[in-house]
Amino acid sequence: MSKNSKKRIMIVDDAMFTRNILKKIIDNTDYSEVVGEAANGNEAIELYKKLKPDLVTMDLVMPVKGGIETIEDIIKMDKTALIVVVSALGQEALVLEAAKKGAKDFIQKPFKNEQVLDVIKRILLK
Amino acid sequence: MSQKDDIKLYFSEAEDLIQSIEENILSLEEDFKNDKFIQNLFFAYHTLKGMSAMVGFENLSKFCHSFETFLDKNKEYDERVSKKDNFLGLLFESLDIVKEAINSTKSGKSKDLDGKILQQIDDTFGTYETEYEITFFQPIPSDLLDNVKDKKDLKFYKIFIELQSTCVFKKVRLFIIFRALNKIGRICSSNPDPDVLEKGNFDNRFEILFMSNNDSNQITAVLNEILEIENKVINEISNAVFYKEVTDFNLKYNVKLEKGDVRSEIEIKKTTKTEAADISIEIDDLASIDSKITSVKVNIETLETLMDYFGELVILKNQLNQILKERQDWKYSRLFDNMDKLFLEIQEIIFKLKLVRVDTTFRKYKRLVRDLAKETNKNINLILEGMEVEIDRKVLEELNSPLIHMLRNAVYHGIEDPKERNITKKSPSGFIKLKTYRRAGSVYIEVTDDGRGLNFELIRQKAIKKGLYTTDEAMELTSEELKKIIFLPGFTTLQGADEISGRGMGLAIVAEKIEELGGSVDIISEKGVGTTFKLDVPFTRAILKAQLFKVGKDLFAIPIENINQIYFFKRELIDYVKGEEHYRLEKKLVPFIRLDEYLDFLPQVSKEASEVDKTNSQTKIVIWCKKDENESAAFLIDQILQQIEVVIKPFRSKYSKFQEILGVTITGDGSICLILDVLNIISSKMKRVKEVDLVEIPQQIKN
Repeated sequence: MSKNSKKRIMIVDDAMFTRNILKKIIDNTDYSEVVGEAANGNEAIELYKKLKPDLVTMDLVMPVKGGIETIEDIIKMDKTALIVVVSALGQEALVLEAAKKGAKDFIQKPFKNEQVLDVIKRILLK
Repeated sequence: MSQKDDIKLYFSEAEDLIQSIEENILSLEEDFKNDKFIQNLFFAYHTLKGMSAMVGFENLSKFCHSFETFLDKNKEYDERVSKKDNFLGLLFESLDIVKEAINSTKSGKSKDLDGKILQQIDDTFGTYETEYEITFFQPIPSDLLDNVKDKKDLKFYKIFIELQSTCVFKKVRLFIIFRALNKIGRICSSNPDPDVLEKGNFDNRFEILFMSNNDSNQITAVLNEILEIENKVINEISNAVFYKEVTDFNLKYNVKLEKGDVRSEIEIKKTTKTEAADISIEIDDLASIDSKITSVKVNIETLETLMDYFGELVILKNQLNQILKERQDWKYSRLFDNMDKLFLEIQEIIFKLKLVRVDTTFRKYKRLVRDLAKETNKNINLILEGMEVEIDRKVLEELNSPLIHMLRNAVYHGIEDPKERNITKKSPSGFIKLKTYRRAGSVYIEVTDDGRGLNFELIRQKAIKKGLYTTDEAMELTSEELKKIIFLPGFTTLQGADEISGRGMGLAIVAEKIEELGGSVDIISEKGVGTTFKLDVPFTRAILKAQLFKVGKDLFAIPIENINQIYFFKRELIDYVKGEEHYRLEKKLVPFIRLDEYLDFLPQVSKEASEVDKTNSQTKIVIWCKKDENESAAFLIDQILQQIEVVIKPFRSKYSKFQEILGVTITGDGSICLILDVLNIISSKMKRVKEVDLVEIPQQIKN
């Protein structure tokens, strides 16, 4: 597994605030970088096609197209897509739904930096 | 056709469709694998959808559409096989909704299906998927297990996992873990049980039995990818240990053999029917046949007749044997003794055939409780324990209505609605536990709820109101006495007649039914904590080893299993406690029962003989019988005889007023012997008298 190139992460969240936090955490390492951001499901799908990132962080509750539908669509496009759900407390049923639709794992808001990095390390750096 | 005729036609056709739907659901229940019934349902709902739209029943049409979608998603057998009860439940529910809507619109009560129901049903269909298979594993059926246990490249593991204490979404975490493992092998059992895991009610630790072609490094690698795992231990175990534990698990979890388990990722060779005929009787081969007939249906009456005939045969054999012994014809007599064992084994088998696991009936209560809970807008879980206990089929049948009644009571009156539970800081879901176990000569069935418990004050008030007691008398009543009151016919603390529970007749009938079976009901209840109804039903084995003895000139017997110890009678060991005779036995003063007096009411007991024997106390015997930890009695009898094996014909309920008699038998020489139900006698006695523990009280020697 070459760690020479940084792992490419795509962030999907309708709140710029959250996107910024995630971006800061992910960019602040020598093994990962944010290659794209999307604010809703449709953008996410388009961006995914273009970027083919290594990992996607996905907010579940978004307007127009929700996280679960987006996950479904991305997986349909690319069976090997790795999607980690970012959820708020109290959304267990939704998260389960997302997992069943193909999400690889999940982290909960409010999250600690280490958690986000832990995800990347476990799933992408073996 | 006028609009009126349209509507008439619609309703007529709708009735037919409803009929067809019902038939298909019932057929599906019988033959769950058959996709044809699903297709028929699909077609029926599709037709109803179109028709309803045409006559303006928009909501009903939409409902049919939702149902169609639901059905479509779950039409594959694989999809529905593990959720059978739930799936069927939804089918029935949906049908009820349609029926209700049709009736309501037909009678003019409403103009269409209630819109609110539409939303509800969408939610129900939506959560259907998430309700089961959260842990995403299928217990492995035993025939599959047999096939794979000897495969060379398969490895067997016991995997222990501890989640981080900060893990909140346990169900999702489990799902992810199980999904990952099932990709590289198969999870065959879990501890705690899948039910517990599915609800997320476990303390972060669990164990699973796992089989895979992969080695433990690969398994570790897979698990390393998953977050929130604090600890994991992967131990390889022998296939023997694995096999045993999974078999035990299957027994406990009652894994049904779904023929053609397509979820298996391990290849099995299937033999065709023609090959089956050629296969020699080797255990391995038998395991691979999936269409061998392994059971037959037998009429219960046939079994009973068989049982009766054999009983008669045993009596005849004993009589023959007796004659031979009297003639001192030892050669033949020994032959008969040898036959004894065979006769008894056969009778045991026949008796066992009549036994059935309570599981078969009790499992259905899950749906009942679910439906009732939904009706009352409460969250209730029915937990079943001891489902492997076997009891007589007839007894199980008789217990059905009392149990259903008690479950209804628990749902309606016992468990509080979520709001009230919130106030009293209870968990939002209540539970009802149905626990079955066998002990000594009885089957115990406990119905426990964690609800509000009996309201003794309310019972007291009602008793006063009904004129059963004056206010003063009522205030004196102990909780024991109050408990008994609720079993009186016509007694209920409900305001108004509850349409399901009836007008307070329920518990009285329950008590009567149980008494008919020779049993008893007890209640344990604590306000705010919950209530337990404990049913005690005698489990009389038809063949008993019993101790024969005489009281006076008459023959009696007591089942050996009820006898603790037999002593020579010593008059000085009698002591009085509160005016009642007790007998000193091993540091206890135990209630003393003189059988000659006790059985006085039986015409058989000859008084003259017992009066003569009273003076000659040396030869008397005391039999100590134990019912429970603190319930026993010492019986005084005249002469101890041999131990016999008896075939009992239990009395039917007509004779049940003689509660003290278990049954009757005829001894080898043709004498009639009454078999005593000592447990019953002890129960009655204990109502008035108690055991007394003697600790460090010096032995008094009476002259």
